[in-house]
Amino acid sequence: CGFALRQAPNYAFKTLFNTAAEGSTLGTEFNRNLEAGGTVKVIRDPRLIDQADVIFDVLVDQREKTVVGVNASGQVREFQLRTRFNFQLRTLAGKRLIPPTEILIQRDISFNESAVLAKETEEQLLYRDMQSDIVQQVLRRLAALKEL
Amino acid sequence: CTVLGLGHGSIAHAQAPAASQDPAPPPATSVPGAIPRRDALAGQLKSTSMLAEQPPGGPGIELPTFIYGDRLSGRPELETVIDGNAELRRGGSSIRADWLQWDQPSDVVKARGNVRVNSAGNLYNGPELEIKLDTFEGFFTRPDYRFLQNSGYGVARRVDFIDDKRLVAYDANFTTCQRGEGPSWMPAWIVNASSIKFDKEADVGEASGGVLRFMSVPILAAPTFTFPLSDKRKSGLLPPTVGLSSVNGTSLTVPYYFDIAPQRDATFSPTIMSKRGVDLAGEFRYLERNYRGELRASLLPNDSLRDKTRWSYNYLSSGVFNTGLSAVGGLGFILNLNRVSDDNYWRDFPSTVLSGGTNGLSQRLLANDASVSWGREYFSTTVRALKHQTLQDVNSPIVPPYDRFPQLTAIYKRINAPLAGIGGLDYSINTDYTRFESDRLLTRQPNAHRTFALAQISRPWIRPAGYISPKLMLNSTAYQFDGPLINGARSASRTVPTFSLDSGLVFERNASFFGQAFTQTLEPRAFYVNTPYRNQAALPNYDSGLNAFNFATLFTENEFVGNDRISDSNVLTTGLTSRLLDPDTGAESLRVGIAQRVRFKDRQVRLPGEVPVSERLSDLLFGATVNLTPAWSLDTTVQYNPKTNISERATVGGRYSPSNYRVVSAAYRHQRNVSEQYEVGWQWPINDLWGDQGKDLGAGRGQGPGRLYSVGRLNYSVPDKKLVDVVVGLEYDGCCWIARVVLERTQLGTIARAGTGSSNSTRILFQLEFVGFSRIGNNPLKTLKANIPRYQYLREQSTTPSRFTNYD
Repeated sequence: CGFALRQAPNYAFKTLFNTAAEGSTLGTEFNRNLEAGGTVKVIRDPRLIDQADVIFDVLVDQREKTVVGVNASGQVREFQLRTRFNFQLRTLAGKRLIPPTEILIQRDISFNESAVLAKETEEQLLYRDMQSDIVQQVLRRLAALKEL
Repeated sequence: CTVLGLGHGSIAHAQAPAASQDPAPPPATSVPGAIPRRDALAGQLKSTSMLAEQPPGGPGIELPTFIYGDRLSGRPELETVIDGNAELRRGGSSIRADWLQWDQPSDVVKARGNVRVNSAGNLYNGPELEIKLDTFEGFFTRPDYRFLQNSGYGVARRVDFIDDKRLVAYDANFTTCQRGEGPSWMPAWIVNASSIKFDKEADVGEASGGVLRFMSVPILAAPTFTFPLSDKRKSGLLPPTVGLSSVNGTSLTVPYYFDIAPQRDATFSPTIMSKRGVDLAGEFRYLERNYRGELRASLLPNDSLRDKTRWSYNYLSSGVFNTGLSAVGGLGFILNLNRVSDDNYWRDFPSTVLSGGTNGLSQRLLANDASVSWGREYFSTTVRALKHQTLQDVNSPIVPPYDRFPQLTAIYKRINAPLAGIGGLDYSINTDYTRFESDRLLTRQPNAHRTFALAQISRPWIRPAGYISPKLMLNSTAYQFDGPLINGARSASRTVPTFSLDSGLVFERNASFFGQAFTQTLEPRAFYVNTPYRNQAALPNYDSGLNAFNFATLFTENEFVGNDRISDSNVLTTGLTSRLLDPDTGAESLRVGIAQRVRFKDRQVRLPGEVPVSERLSDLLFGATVNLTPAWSLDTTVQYNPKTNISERATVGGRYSPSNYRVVSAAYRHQRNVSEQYEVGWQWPINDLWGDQGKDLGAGRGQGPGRLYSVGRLNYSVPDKKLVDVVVGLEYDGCCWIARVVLERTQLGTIARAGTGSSNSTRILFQLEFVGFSRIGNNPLKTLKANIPRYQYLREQSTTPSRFTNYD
């Protein structure tokens, strides 16, 4: 029904500098997926920033946690985890290619005081999953950019 | 809010026809077909680098002086007299008057008749002015004034200019309430004082012998008090709050904000409670280059309700500590400390900063967590201590969770690296030693030392069309118990290998839905895990739990979270996701996903007390996220058992937000046999009911004067058949003042309590905020921001207006 295997995304740039901290898990995952297409090289050395066609700025990368469910005894039974990610893409000269864009992802997690250690690990797993989701959504947005 | 001209006099002072010999400034051109000028308040005008925000000049720079008028006389280089439509401009200042004399040697200007001064956007009007131009030193008689920064204005008997940043107004008044219609209009609030010193460098007004009146009623009188002249951070009073509470009686909170330094501030919020005494609460925050922190604490000496002193603190800090040793470098640290004086604290102070939210974990379980970490290239290590304070209630006791005291971890992790001649490998070794401690009588199992090592190696092949990633894991764990287990053992060990294979494909096509073009994707995923069975039935459980059933956990190797149980698995999880992407921006408009797990043999490893399940097919997991337009969003996850036709767990949430200050959100959350709740939250202007749509002034500026907003959040628990959490409120925006009433009801247990005879705490809060008199932001009614999803403050710190806003 018209579906075909995805082709390598045709990025409008050849080199990108990522301002996310080198070694941050999001930065690593982003760089790896971006380079997987084979057409883009991520510049990692800040001294070589002028070789980059585009600069990827992470403006906000924030994790939030709020109570969304309390039982009649006043005990928390549901939390909502959110990841708020805000980025922009620009040229070194300052031309904005993608204006600051927010991606907000949320997941609900049940809670029980006695199982807090298990919930802590589960929370980390959900945050990592949201991060992968964000990376994929950001790459889609970068691929949609037609020209510099 | 409207911006009008000065109290009297017309703002549009026609440009005086320049004498023919004068170099006439270029007239304001009106090009046919040019973009019509829009309301500057709505922020439609763009700044241009052609207009310098800082007036030119400075010490030692002589700026040219321009003069215009009907008749010009005088002696060159000595004095100049302009009669009729006189105007003098220099730098960012202009003076207009009926008559004007400029004495050049002393640089003094005298002006009479309809004198109008514009000094970098600040306006002064009056009959007589004398001023030294270069120092801006002089006086103005019977002037009215209007400041650019916060649109504050007033009149005075006399104004003395000390310099261009400071002036003193005598027998003066001040308000930010903009003039309304009709001769009987009165400002909602006004300060009258024998003198007001305006310091525009510090952005502070200081009234001596002043009285603040609201609706003509004096509500504050003091020998001196100060108020801010801009949105800039300033020390000062924050709007006080009056509360009526079923637990605390009548209360009054008067917060004071201290602006200590650009990177440090503090808020002191004493509260007088009629049934308890005086609660001294405070907050101190700092933000440095390498570290940051927030400390909140409160102390209520001799609580008359419980005959004891009550206190709480919460300290959050994180950063990098530089050891100064080049071989070691920096150490990262994170501190999150929470403690309260007693088990009843959460009932008596349900709205303290500790309750709910991320800081304290939950109302009845407070974490004290400290960790120090160090990393170098592929190696990282952490030392951590985690202790909990559990607030017990005899009617709903909590089995206290284990403390990690201490936990030591070391991780070596390589990504996309070669090993033994094979490239592109991800591999890691995690080691962890933890001492688990809790109350043995309540947990009914011995405390322990646990050590484990987890080695993993995988080789992912990632291509645009898909990926495949085989992975091998080995988990080896050893325990030393404080006491014997049921089988008499004082130690135990276990080693479990795991093989997994993760793979996915991405198909794409161009499609059209809802009259819109999309890129539609179809992403099948298959994840296979094989882990042999190892008997773990005798092992206690410290940090393991059964995974929640969601898209993240379905695609992980272990069916348990934590490290005390490693599930024996021979399972295949399949999933299918489809997305609609906007082809122009790549934004995700819609996503639907479905997943299910197929088990080839029953799982034998179980948690203590877990019932054995013999199912080949797991529940179905269905998820959808819709963001077709920015105004609407929908997010839903359903875990469905196809055999019993029962939904095990469901979360459905939607939001409609067509503009600033208009948002409605609703959610339904269901965990079978645990909880079932409906939640509704909103912020909506009530004026919409009679068709008054207000003005879109942007975020943080309200929607114009005279508007009433309704805000709230309700949580209804189906099994309890009652509202378990209620926050409803009204906010009135009178433009230069805001009034709030908020009703809050918090659930404190199922049993009615002695003393109040109620199982919940109800309180009503009242607040009056004078915009431009007390500091904006840091609203003490944090309740609204914390409880109402996507609540927006009616006023938030805004950018400084351009001096060209008031240009003439």
